[in-house]
Amino acid sequence: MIDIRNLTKTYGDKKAVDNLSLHIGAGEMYAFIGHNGAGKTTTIKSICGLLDFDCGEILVDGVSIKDDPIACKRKIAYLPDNPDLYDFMTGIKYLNFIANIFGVSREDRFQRIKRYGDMFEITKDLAEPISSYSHGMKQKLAIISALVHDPKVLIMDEPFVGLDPKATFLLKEEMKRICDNGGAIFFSTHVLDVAEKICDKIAIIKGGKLIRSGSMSEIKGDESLESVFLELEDTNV
Amino acid sequence: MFKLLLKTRFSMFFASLTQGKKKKNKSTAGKVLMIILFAFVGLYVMGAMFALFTGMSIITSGTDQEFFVFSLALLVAIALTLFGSIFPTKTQIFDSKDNELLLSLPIPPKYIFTSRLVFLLIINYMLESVIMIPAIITFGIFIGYSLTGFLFTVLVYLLIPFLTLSVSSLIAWIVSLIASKIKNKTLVTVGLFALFFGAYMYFMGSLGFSSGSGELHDIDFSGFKDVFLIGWGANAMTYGNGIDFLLFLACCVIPGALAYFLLNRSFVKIITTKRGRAKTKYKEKRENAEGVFITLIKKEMKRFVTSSAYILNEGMGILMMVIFTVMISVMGKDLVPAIEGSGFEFVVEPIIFGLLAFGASMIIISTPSISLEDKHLWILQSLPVRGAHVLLAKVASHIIIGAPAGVICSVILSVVFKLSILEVIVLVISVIAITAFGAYFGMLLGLLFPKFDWQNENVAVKQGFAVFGSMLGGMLWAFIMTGVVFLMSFISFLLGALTVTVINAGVCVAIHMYFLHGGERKFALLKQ
Repeated sequence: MIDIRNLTKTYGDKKAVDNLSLHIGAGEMYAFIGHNGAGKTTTIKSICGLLDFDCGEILVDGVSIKDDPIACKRKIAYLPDNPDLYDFMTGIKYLNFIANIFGVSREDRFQRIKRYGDMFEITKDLAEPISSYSHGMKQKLAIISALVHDPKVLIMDEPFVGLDPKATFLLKEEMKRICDNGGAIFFSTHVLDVAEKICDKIAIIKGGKLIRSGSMSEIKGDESLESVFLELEDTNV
Repeated sequence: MFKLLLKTRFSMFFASLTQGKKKKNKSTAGKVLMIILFAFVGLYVMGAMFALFTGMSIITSGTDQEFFVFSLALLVAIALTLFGSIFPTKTQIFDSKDNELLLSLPIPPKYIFTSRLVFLLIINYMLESVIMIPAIITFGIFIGYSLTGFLFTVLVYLLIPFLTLSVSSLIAWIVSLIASKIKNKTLVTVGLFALFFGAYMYFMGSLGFSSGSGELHDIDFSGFKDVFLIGWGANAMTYGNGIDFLLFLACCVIPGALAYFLLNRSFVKIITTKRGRAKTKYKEKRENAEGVFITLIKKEMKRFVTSSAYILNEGMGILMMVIFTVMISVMGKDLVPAIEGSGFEFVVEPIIFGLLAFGASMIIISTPSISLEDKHLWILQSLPVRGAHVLLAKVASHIIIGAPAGVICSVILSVVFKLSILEVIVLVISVIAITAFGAYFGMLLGLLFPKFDWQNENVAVKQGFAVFGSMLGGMLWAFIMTGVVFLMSFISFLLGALTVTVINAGVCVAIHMYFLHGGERKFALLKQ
C-alpha cells in the first residue's frame, strides 16, 4: 500500500533522510523507531505530502504522492505528534469539517462519531470549544478525526503520547482492527514495548538511514526489541 | 528584577520585528528594509503633521484662536495613542502568554504588570511624539511661547501617554473582568470597542466650527476652547493658564491612580480566574454533509467571527463604511439642496465611490488568514484539498463578509443622493469589484509574505509586511480608482465606474490564475 523508494530529503547541508526504501503492505502494522532527530518525522511528513523531498518516490496504493497528492491524501489519515487543532471550533464542528472534506455521508459520520466518541469517552465534550480541551482530549479528538473517514492507510507520529492507559489500549485495538480489515498502519514510536507487542514489522532509522527493517521476528530474534535497538544505536552506520 | 522584566518585554518586542520565518533572525537587508519602512512611515506622518500645524499656526496667529493648534494636536495625539494602546494594553497585561510562567516564579505581581505598563508607556511616547513634536515646534516658530506656556507644554507632552495608558488600562481591566466570567469573549470585546468608538465619534461630531465669510482666517474655532480635557490642555500650553493645567493634570492623575490601584488589587485574580460558565452539552444529531469549498469558506468565516482582534483590525473598513453612510445620510438634507443646481452635481457619484472604495480598502480579512493558520497549517496541507481552493475560500469569505456592507451603503447613499437605477447598479458592481480586488490582493500578499513567528494572534493580524502592504496598497489603489472615476465623470460616471470595474476584475482574474498554479505550489511549500 505504501512504497517508499530511495527517499532523500536534505535541509541545507544535512541529509535528514538518506536513500530510504520501505514497503508497507496491506494488513501490515509497521513501527518506525529511531532516536530523536533520526529522520522519522521527515519520512512521515514526506509520505503524507506535507514535505517536498529531493529524490525518490513515494507511492500510496500505486499512486505517486508527487504526481497526484490529492488522490493519495484521500486514502491517508495522518496524526501528527502534537496535534494542534482549530481552537476556534468545537469538537463536533472539527469532526464535521474533516468529514466534509473527505465526503463522508451524513449517516456514516453520525455512526462513526458516536462510536469513536463513546469509545474514547469524549462525546459529552464535543460541543465545547477545542480551546478548552486538555492535551489528552485534543489527542483523542485528533484520533477520531483520523478515523472518521475510515482510512485505508493510517500514518501516525508518536500516537500514544499524552493518552491515558485506557485510550492507549483502545487505540491499539482499533489499529489491529484496521489492519485485520486490510488497511495499513505506519507509525513512529519511542515506546518499544508497544511496538514489540502489536507490530508485524519494524524499521529502524539512524542518522537518516534505514539500518534495519523486516518482520519483528527477523529483527529481534530471541532478544527484546529494546536490547536490539540499543545495540544498533551503538553501532556506527 | 524589574529591569530584567522590562528588558524581557523589549527583547520580545524587537524579536517580533527582527525575526523572520521559523524564528531565524532576518537578514541584514531585511532589517535595513524594516528600519527604512518604519522611518519612512514615521517621517511621512511627521511631515504631514508639520504641514498641517504650520498651516494652522499661520491661520490662527494673531487671531486669539492660537489655542486651536494645540487643541487639534491634542485631539489627534490622544486619539492615536488611545487607539494604538487599547488592545496592546489588554494583550500585554492580561492575555500575555508568559503570565503563567512569571506567576510561577518568585516575582511580585506588581513588578510584572508595572514592567508592562512602562513598556506601553514608552510605545505611547513614540506614537505621541509623531504628532506633538511638529505641533510644539511649529507653534514656537510661528506663534511663540510665554515662559509658563512652554513649561506647561513640556508637562502636557509628558502627561499625555500617562493619560491614555490610564484610560486604556481601565478599559482593558473592565473588558478582562467581564470576559473572565462570560462565555462569548469576542462579542464583549467587539461590543465594548464599538461602544467606545461610537462615543469617540459622537464626541468628535459634537465639536463644531463655523465660517462666517467662507474665508480661512474667519473660521471660528472657539467651540474647542471649552472642550473637556482638550480645551484645558490647549489653554495651558498656549496661554500658560495654571488653573487649566491643574484641571488637565487632575484628568491624568485620577484615572492613573485608579488604574494602578485596580490592577494592583485584581491583576492576579483576573488572569487566574477560569470562566465561570456552564458547560455546553453535546446533543447527538445527524449533521448534513457539505461540499469541500463551502466547508472551507465556513471555516474561514468562523475563524473571523471568533476573534475580536481579527474583526476589529481587519474588518474596520466595514465600520468605516457604515459611519460614512450614517454621517452623509444625516447631512444629506443639507447637502442635497446645496449641490443641486450648483454645477457640481457630477462630483457626487465619484465622492460616494471614493468613500466606499476607501472603506473597502480597510477591509483586509484575507491578508492575515495564512499567517493565522500557523500551527494549524498541517491540517489543510495533509487533507485532500487543493491549495488553490484553500486560497480561494479565504478570498471568498473576505468578499462574503466585506461586500454586503458596501452594497447596502451604496444603495442607501444612492437613495439619499437620488441616483438613477442604472447608476445604483453600476455603483454597486464597482464597489463589489474593488472589494474583490482587496480580497485577492490581500490574499496574494498574505501568501507571499506570511508571518509565522507570532506568539499572540494580535501580531499576526496587526504586524508584518503583508498587513501593512495590504492596507497601504489598498488605500493607494482606492485613491487611483477614485481618480479614474472622477476624471471620467466629466464624460460619464457610468463609464468611469465600469472602467474601474473592468480594471479590478482584470486584476482579480490575473491573481486568480496565479493561485490556480504558482500560488498552489507556494501554499504547499509553506513552512517547509
